[in-house]
Amino acid sequence: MSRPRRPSSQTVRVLQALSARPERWRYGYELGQEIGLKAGSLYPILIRLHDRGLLEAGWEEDSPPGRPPRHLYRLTGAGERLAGELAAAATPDGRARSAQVRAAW
Amino acid sequence: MVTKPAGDGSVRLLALAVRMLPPERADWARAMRAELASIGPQRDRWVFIGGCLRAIAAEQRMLRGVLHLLAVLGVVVVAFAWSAAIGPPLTALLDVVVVVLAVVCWSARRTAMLGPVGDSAVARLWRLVGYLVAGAIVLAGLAHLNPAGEPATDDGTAVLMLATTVAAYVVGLATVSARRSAATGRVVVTAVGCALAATAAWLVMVLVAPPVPASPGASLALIVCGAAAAAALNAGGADGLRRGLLAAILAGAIGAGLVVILVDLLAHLAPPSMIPNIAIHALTPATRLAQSRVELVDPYIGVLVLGCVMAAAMGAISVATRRP
Repeated sequence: MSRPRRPSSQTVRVLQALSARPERWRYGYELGQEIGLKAGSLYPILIRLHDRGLLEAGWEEDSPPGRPPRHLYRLTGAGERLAGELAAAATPDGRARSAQVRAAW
Repeated sequence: MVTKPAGDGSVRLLALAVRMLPPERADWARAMRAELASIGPQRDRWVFIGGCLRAIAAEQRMLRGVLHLLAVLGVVVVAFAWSAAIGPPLTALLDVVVVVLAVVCWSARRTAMLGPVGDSAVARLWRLVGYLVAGAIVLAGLAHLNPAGEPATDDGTAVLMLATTVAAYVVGLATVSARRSAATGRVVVTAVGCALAATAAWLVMVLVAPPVPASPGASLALIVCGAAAAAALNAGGADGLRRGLLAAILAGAIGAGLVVILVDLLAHLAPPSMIPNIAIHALTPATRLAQSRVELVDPYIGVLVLGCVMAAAMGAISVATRRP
């Protein structure tokens, strides 16, 4: 039986950034700038999170004329829970929960 | 925010690159293009595009897409060059085969006509068969680009005919088993079952009352019966006409192919008592038997041609009757 993979540090950074204000929709370029990730790293992470039901995606509704609407992202309930568990696991008394986090991922 | 014009090189490059993403990633392709439109500084735009290219490659399909395109283009170029060298009678046939193969292989990866085809082992195996056929055409073409004489041309013609036969079946079966085909699993199973039953009936007839018939009449009659049975088994319901038609033509094509394969095997392996005497009588018995084995297959070539035509028609009907 294979051991569940722990999220990469880059994925954890994305989750943390999105969970800082979970109600807010974010767009990819801004998110990448904030956490220092280029598109080549960011998009595969966003796609994977979306495929696993941890990320909700939508389209910008009030884009200025001449510019296409951007894709917006925010965590789903499951995504928020995972982000919370990752944050708790990072604390000294949260190590015991790391196995649960891996399983969730 | 600065919106770059549509003619900007970076926009064109990204637009081209995102086409390599699979159809189910269309939203992400649109997202990347929309993000690029909102980035102003030229350097940032190229950095962003570099990242997007890496993300697209990470989907592990870009490389396959490029190789796929190169393979199709390679086949087309070599085959066209060869067809120009071998003269007009075969040129049209070869060009049609190559173009149909290329179109089917390409469209199978898009949502437009047949696809996208699955990533299952069966789908991969089927694509591999298609590539092998295309490869055979390329090899034959390379070997005969500079015809060294009549034997080389004859060999090339034989390879071409074989490749055409296999290509017709590959294309027909690929289209009838595509996701959007009107042929359900039941259609395919019953059609294959009827074809097997018809072929088995012919084989039993040959084993019970040898030799192998020198004419294909009995086999054709049984193939027609199998096709009719397949149509009848699928004729019910609202979609009965389409399914019945596909089942009949699938059963016919498979039955024809199986009968010819059986005749070829029997001609090579069957005991002398099963081989009809169809060679000229002036030969010695041993030579006559050997000659009869060779000539036994000839009358059944028409069955094979019929099977090819049905397989090709099956491809066209599958596309014409595909689901939305």
